[in-house]
Amino acid sequence: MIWHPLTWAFWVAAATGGLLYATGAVQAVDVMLNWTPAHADIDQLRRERHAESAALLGHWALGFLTAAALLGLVGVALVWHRMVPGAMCGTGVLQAMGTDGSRAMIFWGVSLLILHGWRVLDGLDVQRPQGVLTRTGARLMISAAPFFLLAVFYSWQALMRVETVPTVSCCAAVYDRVLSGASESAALKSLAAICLWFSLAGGAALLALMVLKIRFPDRGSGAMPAIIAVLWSFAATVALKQVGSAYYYQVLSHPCPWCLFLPDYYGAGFFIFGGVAVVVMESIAIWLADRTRRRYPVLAGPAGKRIQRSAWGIVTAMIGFTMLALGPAIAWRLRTGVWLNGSP
Amino acid sequence: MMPGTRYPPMVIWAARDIQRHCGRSMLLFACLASLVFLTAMALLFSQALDATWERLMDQAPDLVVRRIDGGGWAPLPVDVAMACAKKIPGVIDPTPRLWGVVPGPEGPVTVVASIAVVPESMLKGIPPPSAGQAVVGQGVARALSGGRLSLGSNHSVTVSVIHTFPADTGLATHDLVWMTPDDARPLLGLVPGQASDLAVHLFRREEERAIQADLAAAFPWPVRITDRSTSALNHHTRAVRSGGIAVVAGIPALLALLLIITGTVVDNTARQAYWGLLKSMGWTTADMVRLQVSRAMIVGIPAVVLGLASAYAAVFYPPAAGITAFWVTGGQHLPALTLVSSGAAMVMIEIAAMVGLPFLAAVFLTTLRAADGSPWTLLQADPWN
Repeated sequence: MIWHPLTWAFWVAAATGGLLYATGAVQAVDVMLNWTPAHADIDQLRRERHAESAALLGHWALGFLTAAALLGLVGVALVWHRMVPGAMCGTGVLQAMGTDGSRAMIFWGVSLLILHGWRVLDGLDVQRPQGVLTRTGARLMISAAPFFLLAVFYSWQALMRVETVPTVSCCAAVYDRVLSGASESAALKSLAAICLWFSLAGGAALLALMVLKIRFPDRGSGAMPAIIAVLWSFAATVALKQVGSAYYYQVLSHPCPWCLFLPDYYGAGFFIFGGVAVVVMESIAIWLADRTRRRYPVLAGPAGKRIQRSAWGIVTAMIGFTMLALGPAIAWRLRTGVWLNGSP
Repeated sequence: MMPGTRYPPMVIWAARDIQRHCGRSMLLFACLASLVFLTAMALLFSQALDATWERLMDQAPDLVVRRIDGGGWAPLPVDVAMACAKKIPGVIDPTPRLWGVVPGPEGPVTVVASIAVVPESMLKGIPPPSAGQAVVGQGVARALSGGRLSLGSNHSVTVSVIHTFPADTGLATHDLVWMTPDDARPLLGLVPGQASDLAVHLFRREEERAIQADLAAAFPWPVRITDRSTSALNHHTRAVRSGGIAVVAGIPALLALLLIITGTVVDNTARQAYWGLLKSMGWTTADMVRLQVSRAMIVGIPAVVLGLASAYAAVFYPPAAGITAFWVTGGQHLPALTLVSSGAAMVMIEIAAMVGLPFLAAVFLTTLRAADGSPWTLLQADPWN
């Protein structure tokens, strides 16, 4: 594994992004501790330069770290399974990585989410010269550091573990899960049904909220769409895994989310889970922009525009997700007259 | 400046800046292009080997059974082996194969006498040899004298060559000689009723590992069983490792990248007074970063594209592919080598990430470092000051 060029590309992107982030975070510390926007002395001017540099470094670091995360995702989903004996998709790779692989993915996700939140605040902050969000932005940027360090640590552990892994059986892992769930099949089925209906209802509620946000960005709560979106993302993932994926694979009882990324299924997983990620990120952007609008009236105008932009993003991602996740199922129902499990 | 109109004037400014430092830009272009070419060629070659091997392995039998004894490989009694293999549920179509390595006129060649050894797709349109005839690979054909081939040392056999394998199958057939079983047996030291090994196909390919223990227990002598997945994994690991080692061997090229980066650092540091002038006219640090990044991308993107395109041509278009293979592996020169290009796009993305990202980061960081000071401090850096 350590010889694979994609592993090298991943580490190059992660190391470069990490260097940019560390440089920016060091400058952000000065801003966080000593920011005094009411003063115009030489120290404050130096801090303003630091704030500008930290912002630039943060944007570039976010770009590089996103590239690293995407390279890692492509590796797990499409490339590295060929290096693991017995693996056929990302499930096998994660099986070989043990818990370190899942931990690395979680910490990468949290780091990028925090940096995305910082990006939203920075985008609002630069709209007005008062710099009312500069200190908050610096604090948020620095707070990503422990998560990023853990992401790098667990990525290293996971990739090193793959190097010496014995034979895995990713399909056996999926089928074992199905078989072990056979005794609890009623509970599993009801969970899948609850998640399916919640994802449909949550999706409809989100769409309605977003239409309202586009028309009236200055009204309503920003936290509500974020909470619904986060809960919806979990329900939609479970529903897709248990129900929607069967219409791609054309078989029941193969609840494997990673196979959706394979070229055999046109890499649909990238677009479907990408849609889920956009919904979560933009809902958090709405929450942050709404919070900013309430606390700092001077930024109400830019925050309203940001809310509208995020709402459009969520609507677009929801439409894409719905078409890709439910489209094959509806096409199957129209073609055959029944759902895949035999129910009319 | 409006966001929508921010970039084109900046790009034009950057292009003029490049024009003003033409020699330096050309040097940067050449360094980047050759670095990408050297790295991409090694990785594309290993990827191409892997893809070609994978395609060949896909047509290979699910299991290959070889009899072994204290001295290593031993001839396999065909009737006993067939009867033992057929007893195992899931085994279909066990096929005895006759093949081995024998001395040729210019080194060892691989003699095959049963078509089960060679994938069927390679034999399309080739007439099977009769007694005293042979079909040979491109490497063997070059050593022929008068269309006749003499093989073996103790029991030499001379055959007339009636056909050669196509050039695009060179990776598998370069040193191959296909002849009749009766001609091959004296060369391989086998008597009638004996085979080199047994190719086994399975009703379900997924059972290739599970069935091995039952199959080994069914034979009255020790056997070694090789499954297709293990062979494919070994080939894949070898190809990836050779690519990785080739990149490590290209450390001088990486040092060249360091030189480029250092050059960029020196360039930016020397221009501090210029940055101070721009800053005192109202440019922000972000504007200067955009200018330098635009400048780097105007030079860097064509350089990376040219390097990748040259590497692609060197690996996938014969006769350049043969020269590349000879250079990378140090093995035989295969002038008509044709490799499978699937997966090349991923390698190109990897190279672009490995070279492009550090380069852009170096440009960004050095510009930021050089242009981060106050205008007055930057103007003080002017050598005329």
